[in-house]
Amino acid sequence: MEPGATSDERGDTATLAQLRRGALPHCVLAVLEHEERYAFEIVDALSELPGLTTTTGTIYPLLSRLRRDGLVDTTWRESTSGPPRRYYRLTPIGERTLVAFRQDWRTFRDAVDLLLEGGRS
Amino acid sequence: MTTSVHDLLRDYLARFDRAAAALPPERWRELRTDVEAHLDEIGASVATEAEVRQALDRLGPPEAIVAEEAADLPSSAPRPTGSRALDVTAIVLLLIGAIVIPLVGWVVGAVLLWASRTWTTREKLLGTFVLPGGIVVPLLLALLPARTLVLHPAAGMVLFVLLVAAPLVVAGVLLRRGERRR
Repeated sequence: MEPGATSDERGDTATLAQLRRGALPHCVLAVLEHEERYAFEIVDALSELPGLTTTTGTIYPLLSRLRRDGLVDTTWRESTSGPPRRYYRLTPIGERTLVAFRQDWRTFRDAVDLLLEGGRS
Repeated sequence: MTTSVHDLLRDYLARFDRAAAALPPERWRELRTDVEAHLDEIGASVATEAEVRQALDRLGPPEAIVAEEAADLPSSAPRPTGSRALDVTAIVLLLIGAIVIPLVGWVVGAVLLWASRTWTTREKLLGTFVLPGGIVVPLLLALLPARTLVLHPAAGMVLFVLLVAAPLVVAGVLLRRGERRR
């Protein structure tokens, strides 16, 4: 914890950066939950939401890591509208990880919300 | 694709290659495939230079992508997880083990050295070959009558000092590096 934390040049405090690092992999898993998507789509989908990530290129190393850890699988497919695309889908381990995180996140989020709201009344 | 759009994308890829020079080749190749595919998508989906710049801004600087990948690399320095006592024992035995129990003492020290997770291979080689036998070698040489080694006594003294100092210095270096890594 840093009292009076200053933001770096992207407007991130160290705390926020840490929170993102923890949550972002699971957000990627969630994006893939119901259908496979190609990389550009994933990166684009996440960049639509404010507060999630500042620059989208940093998602590529994350995707590499998810592949290495066996949470996602990829396939290259030819595309009629342009260059071949790398499609991502969840592996069974990825699915289990997402389900577990969903539960953990809800518990954590509810507890933090309760305390943050309680402090204001 | 107009020339300037093509140029922007190609410049971005070149910047990426420069920034990624420090990455291990396999990671660089993997990441480059993804970045190149992303740049191709941009090229296929937008037409004007302004749109390309916009898309590249959202992608972010190649340096940021490389930095993120670098953060995922395992740290290169070995992290000791073993017993500190064993490490210290290894060094002590390497130095004087051959005096306590001829040959075997030093060998045990060498085995402990190589089994330890504290030091890099290069450091272990240093500990093994400077000197084999530790300070036993110079001590034995000193016990020999000066005539058996055709050496001027002064040169002999210098040699003796060097042969004693070298393993001591190496031992000190290994111990200090081991401490710093804990």
